[in-house]
Amino acid sequence: MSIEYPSQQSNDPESTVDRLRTGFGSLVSSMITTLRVRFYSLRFGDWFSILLTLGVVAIAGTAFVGSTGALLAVASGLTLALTLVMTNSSNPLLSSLGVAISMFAGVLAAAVGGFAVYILLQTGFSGLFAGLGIVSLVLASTGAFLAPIRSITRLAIARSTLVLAVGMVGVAGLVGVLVAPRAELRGLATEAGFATGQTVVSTLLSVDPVHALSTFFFLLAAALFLIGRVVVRLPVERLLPADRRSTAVAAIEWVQQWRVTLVRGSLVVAIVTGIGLLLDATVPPDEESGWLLEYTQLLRTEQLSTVVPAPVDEILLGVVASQSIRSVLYVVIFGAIGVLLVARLLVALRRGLAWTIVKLAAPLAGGIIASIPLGMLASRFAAIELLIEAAPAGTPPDLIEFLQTVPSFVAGAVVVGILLGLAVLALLALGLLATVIVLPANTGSTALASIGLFGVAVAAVVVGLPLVGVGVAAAALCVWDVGEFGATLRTELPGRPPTLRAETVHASGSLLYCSAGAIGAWLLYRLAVPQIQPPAAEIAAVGLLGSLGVAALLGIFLAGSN
Amino acid sequence: MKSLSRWQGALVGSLVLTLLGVLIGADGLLVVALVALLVVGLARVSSTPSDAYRIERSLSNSRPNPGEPVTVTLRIENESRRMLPDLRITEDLPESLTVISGSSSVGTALPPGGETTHSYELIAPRGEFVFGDLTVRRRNLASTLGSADFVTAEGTTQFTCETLIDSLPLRQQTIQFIGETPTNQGGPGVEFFSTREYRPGDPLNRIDWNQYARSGTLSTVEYRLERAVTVVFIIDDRAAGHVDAIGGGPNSFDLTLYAAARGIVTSLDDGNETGVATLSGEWVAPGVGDRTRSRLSDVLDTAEPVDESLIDEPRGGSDDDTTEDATEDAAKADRAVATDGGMELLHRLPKNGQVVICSPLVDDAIVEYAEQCSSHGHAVSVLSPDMTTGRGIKELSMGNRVGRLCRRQRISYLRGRNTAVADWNLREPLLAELQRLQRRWTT
Repeated sequence: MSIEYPSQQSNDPESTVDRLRTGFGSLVSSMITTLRVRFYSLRFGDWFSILLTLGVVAIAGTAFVGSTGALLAVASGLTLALTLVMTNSSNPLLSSLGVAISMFAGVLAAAVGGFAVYILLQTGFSGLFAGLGIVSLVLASTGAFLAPIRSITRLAIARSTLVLAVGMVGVAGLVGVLVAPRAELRGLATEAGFATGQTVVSTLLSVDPVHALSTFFFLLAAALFLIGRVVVRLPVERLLPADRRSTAVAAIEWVQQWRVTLVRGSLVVAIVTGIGLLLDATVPPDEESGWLLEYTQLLRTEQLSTVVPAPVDEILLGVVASQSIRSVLYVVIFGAIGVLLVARLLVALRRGLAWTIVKLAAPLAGGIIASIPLGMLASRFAAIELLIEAAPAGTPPDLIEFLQTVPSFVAGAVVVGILLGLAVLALLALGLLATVIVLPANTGSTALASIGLFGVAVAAVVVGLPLVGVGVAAAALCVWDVGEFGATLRTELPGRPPTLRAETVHASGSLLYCSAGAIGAWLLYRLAVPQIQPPAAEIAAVGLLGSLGVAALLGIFLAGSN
Repeated sequence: MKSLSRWQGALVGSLVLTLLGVLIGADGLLVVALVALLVVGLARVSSTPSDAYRIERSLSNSRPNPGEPVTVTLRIENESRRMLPDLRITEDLPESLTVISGSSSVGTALPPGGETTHSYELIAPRGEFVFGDLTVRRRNLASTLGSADFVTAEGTTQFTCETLIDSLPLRQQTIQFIGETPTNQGGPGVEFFSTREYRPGDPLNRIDWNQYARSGTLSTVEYRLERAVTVVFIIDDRAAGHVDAIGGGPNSFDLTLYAAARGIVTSLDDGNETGVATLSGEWVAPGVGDRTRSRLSDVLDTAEPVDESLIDEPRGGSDDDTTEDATEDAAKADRAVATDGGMELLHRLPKNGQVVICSPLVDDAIVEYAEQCSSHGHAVSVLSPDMTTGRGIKELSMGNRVGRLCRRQRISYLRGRNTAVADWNLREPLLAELQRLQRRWTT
């Protein structure tokens, strides 16, 4: 006969509920405190930059892609920023919520990406810039919403990616638990898994001329980047005698510097050739874009060999289109990722097993819990059917059959997993940008907002909205000026000293000369350009090259004087 | 004046756009590039900021007590005929000063001839403090040119936070603390004590004439007898017996010393023979004269927390030291050598002398010492600053919470053994606590 104490009998359920309530209250309180601290830390310059960026995104975005497109861009920026912040939180509950929010980021990123591709396919060459403009709107919004955080580090992006990957594992686990008890579904899942794996491997190793050049440089950049991260983790100098350590450290630093340059160079080549190949693949040949396609088609490997001189073409093709080299690069990439994950795990375990379990369990739980309502929603709105319809031609039939057979809720959970994958892709794109552009440490958000607005300005003038483009360019410069000014104030005057007057005066001055610059540029464009009627194309070319030279000289002069 | 690099991104962007515009034949891109170039050019021609400015510093109190907030006000004036669009001023404060309100930095803009003020509050521990040079960074309107100056502010450049006896406001000592201690005996005095039968020779002014009118018998009024006492203030100067203030400011040793100084002044003022001792071995024999006062002042001025491991070395002079003059020899002879946890000090305490132990009570050793004093027949009081004053439970770390509980237990323990403890809440004037201490002591 067991004795049941009254306190146990009556209080246990209540105490569990109380604990949950207390935990939730603590979470809400922690979030409110964090938000209050973050918002309180914002200065006038920060608010100015945020409001100006969002205002310009709203106005220019509406003029550019309509109010729906602008709203989509702002929402996408908001969810991406929230994902980045929350998945980097040390609070496990917040990081779980971050995984849930990232699903919305995935939906919106997919919508924006789909919209950009749709415009590209519809309008050809200018559609590329229109698409880049929409992506720039998202970047500007993300920068504005990240203003309270200020810095956007690659480490933070990598951490978020890892958390989302663990969340995906959680969703996959949920799908596995739902599928495994049913033998028929289990068989289908196994077949679909094998087929998908084969397709993925063959796609990864593919050296199709349509993408070979670009994907090779992407792989090269990724391999170099990850090797660098592994070298940083390895205590190489400790393995050497004390008298040789300084030499070894100097050599490693030298190699690392060149590696960083190579990574950036490879990424730039990959992005430029990727855009060129995208244009080549999507833009229909017509009079307007015919001249461009003549050049872009040269980026295809089979065409490249026709223009590159004799021994070089073979070497180039031998490297770029070699499956074995790609295999080696993949081995290096996945091996380095494995080493980094193990190192990360060891570091986590040093902080304690409980801490590690909590950090792993939080995104897992976030993925599983969020996939339940979202999976139900996805099944209700038949998202899986839409997904199957939109699936690319190379999708394995076994996978499609599996998705059509499984219960709607499981299919919905699969959709949720895919959305998480899209969020990971969006974060990787952000990391790519941060690597290529090198966002400043303490003004990363301002730089991102400014670059985004500048991208919108470029897109606007290409699609025939020069006035919008000039205004947005001036706003981009103003956002940078005021935001960077605020960052220097924060650095030079730590704490929270009164700086409102200085910031107001600077913001007013910045608005003044950015407006003057915009008006001057617009007047020049409207008045001077029509007067210039070159008698021949050669003279026009000389004139353009001359202006380029003058601009370069002016730029060098101003950079030198600065 | 240094050029500041802020626009490289815009310049690179404009060059890339120009190149792209030429390559794809889009003149619109050249317009965007032109916007960037014009803005950078306009920012470049922004005029240099003037260096004609003046900064003056003033303090609300140049001789504050430890823990007393001091308001520092900076008055900044633009003496030029041009605007100062960006002026960033940072005070170089000594490390031990803690800013408790506002910020010691300010960023402002001043019109021609304009001025502004900026204030902040700080608290200081015991000592003299000299403000360093102000760092003043100036920028032009476009923030493309800047310079950093190191400027000595006009006005107050230093202040003293001290516990010197002479500097204490004696006129505020409106209560009796230790000296002229009321006793439980009747005699001449001020406070009514009892009446007794008239004895021949009693002064006429002490005869209770009302009683005589009512009953026809003579009786004499007795007042509470007040006698001067001998008091020794023992200052706990063990480094391990003190803690830093939570969030900065004077530490527990500074506040303990301050409390002891106030008590000593009060005691001297009441005519009591007053002495001071520290656990590390400083000793001033009880006295009332100017010499005693001077030596008390010296001890309070030079007292510092001492690591207990350093207390092992005797600090008294050797017997064969003939170079010292007679006064110094006497001073050395008066020094107790606390090499045994204060046991020798116990033997030096005068018989029937009262002891006031000044300590924050952060460990048990001082409680044991108070008990030892008590067991040697001395009336013991403890004067203790509460270093967690004004801190809510959420503001305290786990260690601080435990420390506070332990300290309360020590106070309860001491009070349970008939030891008067003045638990000085730092938000209340020390005098109020001293008054409470006296009240508990006399009951």
